[in-house]
Amino acid sequence: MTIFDVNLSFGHWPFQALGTETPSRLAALMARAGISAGLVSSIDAVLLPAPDDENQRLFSLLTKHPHLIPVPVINPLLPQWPDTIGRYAAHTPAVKLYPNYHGYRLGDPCVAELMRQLGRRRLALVLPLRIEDERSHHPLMKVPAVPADDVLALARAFPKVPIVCCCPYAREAARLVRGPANLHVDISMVDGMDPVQALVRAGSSRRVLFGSHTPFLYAMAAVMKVTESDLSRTDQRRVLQDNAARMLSTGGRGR
Amino acid sequence: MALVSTDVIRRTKGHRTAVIMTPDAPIIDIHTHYPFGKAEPDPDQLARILARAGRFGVGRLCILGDVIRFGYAPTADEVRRINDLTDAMVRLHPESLIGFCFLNPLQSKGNCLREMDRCVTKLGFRGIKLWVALNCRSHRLDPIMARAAELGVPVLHHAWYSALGHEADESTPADIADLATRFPQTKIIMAHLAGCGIRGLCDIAPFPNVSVDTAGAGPVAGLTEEAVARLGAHRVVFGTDIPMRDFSSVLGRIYGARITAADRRRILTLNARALLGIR
Repeated sequence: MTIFDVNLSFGHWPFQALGTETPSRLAALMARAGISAGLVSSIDAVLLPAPDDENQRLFSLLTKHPHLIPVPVINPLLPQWPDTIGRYAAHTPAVKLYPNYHGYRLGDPCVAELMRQLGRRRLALVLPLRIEDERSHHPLMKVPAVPADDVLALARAFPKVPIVCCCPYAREAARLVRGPANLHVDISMVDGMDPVQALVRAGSSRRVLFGSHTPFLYAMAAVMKVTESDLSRTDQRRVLQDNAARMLSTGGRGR
Repeated sequence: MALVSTDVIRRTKGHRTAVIMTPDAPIIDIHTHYPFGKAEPDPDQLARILARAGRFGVGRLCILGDVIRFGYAPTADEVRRINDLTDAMVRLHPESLIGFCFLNPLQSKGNCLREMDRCVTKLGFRGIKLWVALNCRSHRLDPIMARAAELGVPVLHHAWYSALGHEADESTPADIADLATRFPQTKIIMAHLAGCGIRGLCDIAPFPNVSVDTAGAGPVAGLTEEAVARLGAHRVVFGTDIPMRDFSSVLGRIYGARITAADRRRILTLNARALLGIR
């Protein structure tokens, strides 16, 4: 069984020594945990003022790593965002937003316009609720998580756009996985006894995706959550591989 | 367009799915809580937990008690009921479960010491659990710490650095360091490596009588290596905090860390044996 990871990052983060300064290092971390391929974004694009500079660097560096699929980070408050999406649309299955770090809400008009464009271009949206446990934030940089209610409202308003919600906690994930059919969740931060099976029971094995949040978290933990769950072999395969392939290969027509 | 195709996955089919490593000795989990909110043991729930533990090679589990059952500052009677429940569970599975004596240091010195003696010398518990009733800088902990040293049992103390603030008397790793300064002969286990972080490791590094358990928060990459580098592997002990966490989530921090097999064995088994005085 192969593993496709929807939640990978590359670059530097001021609050954690990530050790992924080169794509080769990220690839090595993935290989060590048996992760075959995945969606990769620039983590530098979260804090630097012009995310697209980092997107360009990411796309350039990943040309030699076909199993690392670049996903651009978009800040819809910047006037260039439509051009940015246009430039990458043919080369990526999705774009990623960080509303809590870039200072807007999912209900803002700029997000609605962006979602319409994603629908037209049949791109998915990758949406991390958080990057780090809020308790572990630097005391001078506390960034609240994206509210799960906002994600549910967005998914309802744009049912043709697949949304991959990354880094929810177990309670948030259980709510989201019962939400609209275009909404998917990753397992990187769900926890509790056999958490992936609990999540599948709360919703459907077709809406749960493997995401490790490497290099912020140990990839092995995410792998073991699935491979050592009580899920059936079929459900494990869906989570590890099939769901991501189906969702990302069919865009908004996936269901 | 076809967005990401299954070809990407097919092309990388050469990678194998990771499998967990088989431990060469039963793993000891030094930090578990269950059941929550119950007055009696739940044999079915216990059986499920032990079955899941067995799947990961976790053979012994330390029960720290249902610390939230009566709030932050339980009465002496409530403390006794929490420990009675722990004892009842240990009696159901004495080969697998190890009791820890939960105490509220706000209770009188006499009550605390009597409960310690009852749990450790009569019931065979092998450790003391302190939570958030009182910050560990308080000298009201002193009789408990001194008696723990006499009994030769470790004190597992809650600690966390939280950007969201702390409970009024919650202890941080810096507070644990103060406790260690006062009681260098008492074995102290600081809970929650992932909640204490690298700063917490720095706080306790000078105190060889303080270990850290691997519980708390998510599987933050690099922390296990940091703990081994800053404390030595002999001061890192495996703990999960189940049922809030899963064995997979915490064992992934150990199997995913770049540490030697010998250090991994210390963390998973040998250090707990030494702390608890068991074979």
